[in-house]
Amino acid sequence: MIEPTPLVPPVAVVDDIGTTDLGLSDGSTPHGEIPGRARSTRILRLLAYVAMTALALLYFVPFLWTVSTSLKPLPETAYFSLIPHDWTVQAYQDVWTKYDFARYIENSAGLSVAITAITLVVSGMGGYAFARLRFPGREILFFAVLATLMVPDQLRLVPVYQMLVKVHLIDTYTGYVLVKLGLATSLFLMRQYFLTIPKDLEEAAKLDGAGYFKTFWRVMLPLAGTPRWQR
Amino acid sequence: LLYQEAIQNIRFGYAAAMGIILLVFMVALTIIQRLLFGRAEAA
Repeated sequence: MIEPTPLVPPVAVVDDIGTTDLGLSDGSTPHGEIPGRARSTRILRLLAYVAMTALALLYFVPFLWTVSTSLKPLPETAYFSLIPHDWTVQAYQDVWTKYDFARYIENSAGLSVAITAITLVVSGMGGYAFARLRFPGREILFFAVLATLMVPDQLRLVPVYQMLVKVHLIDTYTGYVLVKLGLATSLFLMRQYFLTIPKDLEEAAKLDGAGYFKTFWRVMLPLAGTPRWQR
Repeated sequence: LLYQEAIQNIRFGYAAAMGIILLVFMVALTIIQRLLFGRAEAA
């Protein structure tokens, strides 16, 4: 005799859907999720990883090619092959003896230190003047400085070169430093930062008998650490 | 110099070697900079 099946309210059946084994690979679906969603999410994630890995490899090929070319004998470099037939470090030996890398590093270090130091001092003083001092034509001068930011470097290339030729600064360290100073951006940054420093500190310095320069050097500049290091 | 070696002298191997040497210098400088100032920035 067949026993009668107990009646189950429909709500219980709906609740069971989330926890019933629906034949998925892991055998269970988290409660409340749509069946099959976990698998599709996993497939999508896998596809995304495959695509990202392929893109990363694509970007890595030029670097790999450079390393490979540097390890080939000279005649072999004319052909495209990622793996060299004959491995050699002759190119490194030749280049190391032919060129003075120590001098190049010295040049780069010296120039970058000089440019940074001059920019910090000059743009700091300029920024302080534009932020705090009151003098006729201040706004016009500041907008003139800002206007130089709108001129693209390519447009200035020929005039700057001609100016350097006229003052005999071509192929000199001084000429390079002058061209690379680029004061407008740093001056603007310093001015904006000086504006955020409370005037009370300056007034306290003035009460202690400090002049403009001493206030700038001893009070304002040490407080402007953030834009200095950003620059 | 790199451009001259590669394009003017057609010595791609030399140019590639110079590029790798430059990269090694840059990585070394970056590591030194991180060691010197990394702690100060983190603090």
